[in-house]
Amino acid sequence: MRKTSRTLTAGFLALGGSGFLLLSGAGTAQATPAGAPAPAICTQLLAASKSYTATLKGNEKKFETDRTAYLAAVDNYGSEVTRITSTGSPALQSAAKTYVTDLETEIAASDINQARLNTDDDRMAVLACTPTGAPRTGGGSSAGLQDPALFGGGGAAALAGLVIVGLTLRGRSRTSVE
Amino acid sequence: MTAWSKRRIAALAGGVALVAAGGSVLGVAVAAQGHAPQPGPAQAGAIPAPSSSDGNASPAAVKPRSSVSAATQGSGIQGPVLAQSTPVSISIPAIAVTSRLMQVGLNADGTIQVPPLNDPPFTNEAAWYKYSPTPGQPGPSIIEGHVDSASEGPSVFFRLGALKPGDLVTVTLADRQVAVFKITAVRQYPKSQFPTSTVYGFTNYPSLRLITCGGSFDEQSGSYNSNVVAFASLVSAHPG
Repeated sequence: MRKTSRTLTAGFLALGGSGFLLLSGAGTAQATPAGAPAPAICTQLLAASKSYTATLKGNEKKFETDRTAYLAAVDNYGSEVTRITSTGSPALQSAAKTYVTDLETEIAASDINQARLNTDDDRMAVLACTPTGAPRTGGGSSAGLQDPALFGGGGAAALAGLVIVGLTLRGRSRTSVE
Repeated sequence: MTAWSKRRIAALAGGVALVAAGGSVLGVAVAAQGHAPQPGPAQAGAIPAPSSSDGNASPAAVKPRSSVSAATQGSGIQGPVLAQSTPVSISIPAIAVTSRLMQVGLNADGTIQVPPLNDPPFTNEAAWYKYSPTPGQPGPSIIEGHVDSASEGPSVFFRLGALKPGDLVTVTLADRQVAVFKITAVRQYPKSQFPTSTVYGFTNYPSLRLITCGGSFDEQSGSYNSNVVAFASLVSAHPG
């Protein structure tokens, strides 16, 4: 019983430290611009993670006494992760396979390597939620001529002055010749 | 001296005065130009390749501290890591940046959302990409900020391109830990050739990516044609 309890706690921790749990609302967003949801696989993995967490929390007492049920819950989660990522890139599929294998093996053996599971999950999260390109982080106010009125006014004044000086000098030279 | 020559002298003086005034105004306009610094070859530094599934990348110089967990044995992770905790603020002393961190997700086209361009004070705040690892966790934590905005002028990451390898970045987490990162490289990439895997790819150590815009501004598309990216690795942590 004590061992099962430790394993269950470790199982919680394994997920609690994962990249996807944070997405389930644990963060402290100050302001989040409205926008499209994350890529489908990212969203589905998040949902699976939330569901798994809820299952563990909702059945904590049961799983302490029913190890078979606990392992079945872990297995279900692993299957769900595998199914969701099956349409993803080969790298994501590989990362998911590693994560599921490590999770199931370690929980079955009651030998949790927390850091490894966190890393497996972070790697999977990064691959599932990778942005596609460069962000548009600028409005252009500091690009090019920042004060066209100043440049235009100054340039026009200088040009007008040059024209006046030129015409005046030209007129003087004509007068001299005459 | 005739009346004609007096008028000519007056015109000449007026012309010279106009040239001087115009030149002065142009000088002021040129002096007022404040372009965002662009990273040069000296700042290029070194970027460890994103790790493969086996993981073979290494951080630049991670120095374990007592406040940093080193319990990463068997995980393929190099160097210490921090507990997962949402970032709440960032400080970059070298370029006088201090900012709260908002959170952003993805746009419909798959690019990272950005803080609103016309909604101060959020326009001038940096933002953490909420689907990236939290700072101090293995992998690249992504933080971005505007270089400028039409309404506010220079913005939070205006001087990001002036960072140099060795400069420090601190990120305060919700659990009050302060993660200290060291800049390892600062690069500029054309948006059309943005190296997604280099910037966003998984790293086998806690890393940080600071992103803003750079290069020239395309009025037609309303966007800069490049991005400036600062790469950093976790070096230590301490309670905030």
